Amino acid sequence: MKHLQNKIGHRLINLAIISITLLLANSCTDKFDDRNIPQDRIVADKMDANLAGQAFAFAQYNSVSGLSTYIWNSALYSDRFAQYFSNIHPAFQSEQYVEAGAHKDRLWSNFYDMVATQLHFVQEYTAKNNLPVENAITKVQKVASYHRMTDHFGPMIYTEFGSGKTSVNYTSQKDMYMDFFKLLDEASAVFKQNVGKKNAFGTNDQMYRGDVNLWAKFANSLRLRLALRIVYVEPALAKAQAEKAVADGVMVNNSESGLITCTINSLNGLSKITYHEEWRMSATIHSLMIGYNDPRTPVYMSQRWDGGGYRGLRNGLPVNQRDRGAMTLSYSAIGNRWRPLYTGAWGEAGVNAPMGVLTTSEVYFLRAEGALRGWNMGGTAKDLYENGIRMAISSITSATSAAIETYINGTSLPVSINDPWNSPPVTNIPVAYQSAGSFETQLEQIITQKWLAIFPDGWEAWAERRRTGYPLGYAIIESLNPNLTKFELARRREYPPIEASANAEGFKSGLNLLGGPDRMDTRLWWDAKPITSFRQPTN
Amino acid sequence: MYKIYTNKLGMSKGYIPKIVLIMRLTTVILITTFMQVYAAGFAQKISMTQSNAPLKTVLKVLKSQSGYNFVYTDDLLKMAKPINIEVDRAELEDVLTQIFKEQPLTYSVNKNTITLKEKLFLSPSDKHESELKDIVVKGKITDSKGESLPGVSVRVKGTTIGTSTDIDGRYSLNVSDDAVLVISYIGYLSKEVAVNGRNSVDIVLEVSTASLNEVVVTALGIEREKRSLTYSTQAISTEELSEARELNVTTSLQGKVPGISISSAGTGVGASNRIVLRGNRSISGDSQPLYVIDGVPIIGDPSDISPDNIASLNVLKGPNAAALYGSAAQNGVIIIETKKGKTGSVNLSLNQTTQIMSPIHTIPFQNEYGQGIGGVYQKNTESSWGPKMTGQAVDTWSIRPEDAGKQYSFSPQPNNVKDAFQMGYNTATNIIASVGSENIQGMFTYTRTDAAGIVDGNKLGRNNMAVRLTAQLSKRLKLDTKVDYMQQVINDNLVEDINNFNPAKQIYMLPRNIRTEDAKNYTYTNSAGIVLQNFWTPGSTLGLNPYFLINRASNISPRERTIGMASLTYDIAKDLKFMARVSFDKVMNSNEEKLSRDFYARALNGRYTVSSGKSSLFNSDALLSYTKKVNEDWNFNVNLGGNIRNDRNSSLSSNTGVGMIVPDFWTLSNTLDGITSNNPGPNIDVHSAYAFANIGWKNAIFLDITGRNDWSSTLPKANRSYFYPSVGLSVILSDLIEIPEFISFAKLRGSWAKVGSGGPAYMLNRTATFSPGGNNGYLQLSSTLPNTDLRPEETKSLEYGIDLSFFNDRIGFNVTGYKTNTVNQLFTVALPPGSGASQFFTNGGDVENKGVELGLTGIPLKTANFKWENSLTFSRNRNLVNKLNDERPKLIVGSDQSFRDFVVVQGQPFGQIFSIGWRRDANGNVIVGSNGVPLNSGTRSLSVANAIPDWMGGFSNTFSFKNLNLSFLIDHRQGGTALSVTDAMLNFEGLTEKTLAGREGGLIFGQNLFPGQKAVKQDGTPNDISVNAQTFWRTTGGVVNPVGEAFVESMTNTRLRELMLGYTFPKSLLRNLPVKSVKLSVVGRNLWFIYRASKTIDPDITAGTGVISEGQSAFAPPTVRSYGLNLKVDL
Repeated sequence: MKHLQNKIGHRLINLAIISITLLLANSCTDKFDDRNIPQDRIVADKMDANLAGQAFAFAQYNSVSGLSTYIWNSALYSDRFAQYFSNIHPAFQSEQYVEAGAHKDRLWSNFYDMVATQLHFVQEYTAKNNLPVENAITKVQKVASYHRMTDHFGPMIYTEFGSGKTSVNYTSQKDMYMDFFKLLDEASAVFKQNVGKKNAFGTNDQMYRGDVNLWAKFANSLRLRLALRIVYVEPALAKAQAEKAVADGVMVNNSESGLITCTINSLNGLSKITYHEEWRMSATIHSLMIGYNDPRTPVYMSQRWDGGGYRGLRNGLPVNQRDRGAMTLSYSAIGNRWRPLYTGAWGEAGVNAPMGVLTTSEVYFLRAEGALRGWNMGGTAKDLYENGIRMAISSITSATSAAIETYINGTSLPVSINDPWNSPPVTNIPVAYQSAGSFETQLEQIITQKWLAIFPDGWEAWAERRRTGYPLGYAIIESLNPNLTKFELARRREYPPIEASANAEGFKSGLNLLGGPDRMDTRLWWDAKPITSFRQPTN
Repeated sequence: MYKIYTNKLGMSKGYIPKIVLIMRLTTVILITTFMQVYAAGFAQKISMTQSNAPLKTVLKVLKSQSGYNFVYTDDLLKMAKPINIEVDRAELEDVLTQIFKEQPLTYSVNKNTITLKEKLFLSPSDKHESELKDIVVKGKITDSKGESLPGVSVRVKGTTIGTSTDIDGRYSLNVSDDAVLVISYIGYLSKEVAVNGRNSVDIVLEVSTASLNEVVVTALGIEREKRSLTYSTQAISTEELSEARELNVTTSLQGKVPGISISSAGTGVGASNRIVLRGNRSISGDSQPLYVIDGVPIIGDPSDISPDNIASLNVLKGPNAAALYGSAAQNGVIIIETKKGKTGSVNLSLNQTTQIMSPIHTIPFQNEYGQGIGGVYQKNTESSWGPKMTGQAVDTWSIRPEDAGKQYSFSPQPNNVKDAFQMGYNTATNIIASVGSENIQGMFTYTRTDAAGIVDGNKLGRNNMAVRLTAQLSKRLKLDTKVDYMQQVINDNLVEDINNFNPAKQIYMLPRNIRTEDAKNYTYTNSAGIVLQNFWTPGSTLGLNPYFLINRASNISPRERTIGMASLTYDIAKDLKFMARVSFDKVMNSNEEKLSRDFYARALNGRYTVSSGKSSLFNSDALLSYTKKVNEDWNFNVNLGGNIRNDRNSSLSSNTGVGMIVPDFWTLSNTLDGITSNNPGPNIDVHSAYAFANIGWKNAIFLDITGRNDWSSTLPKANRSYFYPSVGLSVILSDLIEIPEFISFAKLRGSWAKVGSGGPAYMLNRTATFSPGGNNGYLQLSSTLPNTDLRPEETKSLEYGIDLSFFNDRIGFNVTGYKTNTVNQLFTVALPPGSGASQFFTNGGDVENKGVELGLTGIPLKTANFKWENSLTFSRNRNLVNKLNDERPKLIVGSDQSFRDFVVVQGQPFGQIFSIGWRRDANGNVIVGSNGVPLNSGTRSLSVANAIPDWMGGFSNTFSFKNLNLSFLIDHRQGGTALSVTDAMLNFEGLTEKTLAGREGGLIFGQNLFPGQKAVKQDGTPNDISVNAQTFWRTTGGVVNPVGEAFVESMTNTRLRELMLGYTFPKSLLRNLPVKSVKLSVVGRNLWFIYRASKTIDPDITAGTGVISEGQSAFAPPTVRSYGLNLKVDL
């Protein structure tokens, strides 16, 4: 018996040892590598070309502020500085020229994360995989995306982007612009060799569905925009680039406009946030559009919810005066075109409108300004100005040609507003083009109409207000920034705090290149119109 | 790798015959797990010759030859007579009989331990006996857990009359009716009980504090005598867990364990806790301990387990105690053993608890000024900066058509916040049935818990069921298997933080003039017949009518959890055992949320969300154990084991977004912009091999050695395998050297351990994520750069301590010092966004925690009927981030929306809270701007708070008088600071008492406003600019970038945590009832803030349980005070 037990014992020990060994040996760690890859993700180095198109699509959409970022990228800053909208939410003081806290990081981080990273990846991918047309489109998209950003901040991380280092140096705005023209040259050369072709991005391209000819026109139109941006700092280069752009062929019909098609899964960013009811139409919009009896008024603005009619609100209200409950009702909200797809307690359903990147009407106004400056723009300033208006109104309203012509020839002036500040008319120019007027009067007319045409693109509108001083706009009610009076305009946005903390050394290079303190009153490289020639609002 | 490792332990092929040899030399002994094995089990032959030898010497010889341990006290040995004996290959039983025949001592055997005790003689010649009436007193002696104690000495005081209890713990004795029984048993505190003419006296003995043979459950479910442990561990009385019941059982640990820090999330009934042992260690992880139930790690915490089913709960605080659980244990382990059936008895017990929960309101609201701005009434504002409320008639805010044009009296509503809360309750009914024969024991338990929180609609219903079966399948094969099943539904979990859906937030934000009866009309029907929200600020981004929120948002969260375990143990030989075990923990959570129409921007037409998640953890173990007494002095135990751990997670979530087409129609397809996301979650495999050994010398010096090698799927191939060891030593000084008489026990212990960890999954590849968008979907490249050279992280820990007891265990004292360094941590370092990524994974850092824990127990008073026991605990932990990353000496671990960054900074304590602070000059004076408001830093650049307490302590007292016992626990937290976003927002809106001063102006910062601060104007002269309250608070507080420095609150507080009054009904009352015992207790928890440094916050409640919730107070619901009754009946 004892013997038998020992025998069993012996076997069991062996069994135990074997099972422990098996447990471990069986635990082959071969599957560990696969186990450590999330099943819902794609490993970046194993991606195919089709997916590069989807990465491009993501960048393209987000470069004009997708729905998740619109409020931080556009609504709180450029849209207010452009004076399209006024704030009624007591929490946000950005339009009183104060930037604070983590919100300052968002635009910067969103851009590099959602736009620059994807474009960098697609640009490298298309170069490596011999996709020249797609590579050229990516370069144009890169220019379209980066210029908006540098126009906000000045020097930025540009040439050193993607280094993966803990310190990254900045590139000056001038160098960025020079590189923009170079990239457009490279892309245009590729487009010329591939006329009439479609490209691999196909419908991933939300602007032109892969149409090379349209991309070529877009690239030239973008060149024209950039040329005029630098007209006060590099007049000769501006003229050369502008004339080259027009000679190579810019957009002429509304069907060629650079618009991002929005889908149910990529909504118009503005429409995604309008129902927050945190702002109202600006007094500037009110004074101009009501004064001009503008056919676009019911599209841009909704009637007051407390009894009809339109009313715009002055910018820069002190926090104490922002009575949301009352102001929501007694000032005009944005028009239904940019309201959400569904109806709420107020307003009607929106249409998920496409988002404008660079429209044909803007191109006409750019050419009008070039013509005013005596450049060869293929037309007179007056004709191009009027065409710009026609394109703008017909693209967004069903106004008859007669109604549009009446507007173009209108001589009515902006109106005063019955509000607590007794706001006078915002300026004194009519719509009808004043060919006999001074250079500045004509420029004011061109830029003011462009400002109305590109609504609600606050990015471009604010850049042009800084460059030209138009439209004049109202003084803000109160400035909280010791470096900017309420009569002055913010000249840039401050760098985000994340740069000082996460990129201290590189940030220093940026501050050197900026050439002034990191403040909202520091003027950017292209912001070079003599300060004495700016008219300032008096009220 | 495996081979090298096994060779280290000598478990090579050549070793096996040696074991067999040892076995052959050893006569096979059957070891049963049951109570007593008498001499039948003795098998060793004893040979010795002794003349006139002290008993101690003889026992040593016996011990070395038999392998049996002897337990005795020196007092007993002093009674012994010298011994003469000569035996040759005699049976141990015979030898013992011979030795003790002439001695005033006797012995009992339990497993392989022989316990000596005084021999009791019945003396018929005793004089007193004939003079007094004799009665027969019978009874049962049990320990505090109800386990019967055999072999206990029961003696009549002042006589030599006595007996000892039988195998079931029963005794019977003829005594006089005024006799006093003295009950003593080694390892337990002696007790004196007056008979008072009773025929039945049951007695519960309590474990001696510094007891010699107290058994604790350690890693892998192994029971060890506490005296042999080389590290500190803390056992919790399980009775308190079920009597002073908490919905989350871990909450009950508050104040009882030195070194533990507990904070609760503010989600209402069933809220989860954040528990940290000995300080935060992990830069990216959460530093929370591992929970182990019946030897098996579980997922997360046991918040949903029923306290009735807990047989023991032990806290192993350091990694030293936990090295054997591997990576997951580097933050300490909380070990729970659930109940088992017992041999030879049928037990049925019922436990019923009902508690009432009432809110303690802590925020002082002002009741002078009502809705408005700048002193002017405005019906549509969320602020209370309006005029004084003097009962003047004002326009109603209500937008109900029937209220149009109405006015009402503008008067203070001091109770409008209180009115919105209610009394909650918690009721639990538990039944435990257990049955057992010699070979098979079963236990079944069921608990039903129902609770309602202090916010209407917040409810919990929970069923806990468990079945456990232990069986001796054959003489050698033992089975232990169980299934715990938990099913729970929580309704309307409270949303936390500054989220709009947090009801506490919307309640606190009530303007001071809003009448409860008006606010309760929370809807109106518009002209189109649509039901909409009636609120004073229609369309608000942040505000909601709290009653609309409570009634129109519903949330239901069902949860199911099953924990299963089966283990087989085979006694291969007397000293050799093999155990195989499989176990799993599977948790299924789901959630359904319905928001009705008109939640403004969040849900214009309603919003419907459905989500579900499942997590499972499988563990497979094998363990071979060998135990050997080498000789009289030496014994050892060696174990070799393997473990495979598979961690699987996934979740699915879908919602309609805000684009519901048909309002309030609850289906996911009813939307224009639905969002679905599927997250497979982190899946991790860890394979391990481990070995550990305990070596004992003279049962007084113990050496522990452990070693473990893990292979983790989260690491790159080259670094996947990592080894970590531990070593510990304990010395029972009192058994080795002569020490003064008043010291009854003295032990020194020390240990060193290293624990490795593979860290989180998915750090080795750069990935891209798909999302809907555009015409064919979007693809986004991850912003985190991978690191293909990651190494495992390590915690190194050193711990040492002393355990002392004095005056026969009347005073006990223990102190533990420790130091842990967590190095090579896996975390992400922020990159400039322009580098092409926002962060990269790296190894680095050195977070150091060192501290001291003290425990003092005492029995200040003890008489026959009365006993007063108390215990005092103290702990302090010092934390320092020695090193982080040279390029990045500061790392933001997390940020909240409002105003905090939770930051780890090289050279500073862990978890500095950065916020916007006041701008100061070179002398530290606050610089005040021209408007009288201090200038501020604009960004979260200043360290303004840290939640780490200076020290924590607990003081508990138990008074027992006959059948009554009273106990209470007071705990104290000293130091630590939190930022209160509640105050920032309430002050912004002019709602608190603090905003009363200076409404008309006249506040001067540094004088009557923040008088503790020195303030200067921008020109450097002392500040004398006056500001009014509204301007100051509206620029200082709020939700967007408030000045955090103005809202720092001290977390120091003292509270009466627990109070219990229990009465055990005397047997005489129960004589005619079919019950064995009945105990009724009155219990209360969280009864009283004895001291609270902050006027507004309860530091125990934070928003969430993640690491960054530390030092955050954000619209926590009121603290809940609970009190009620507990009835326990044993049938």
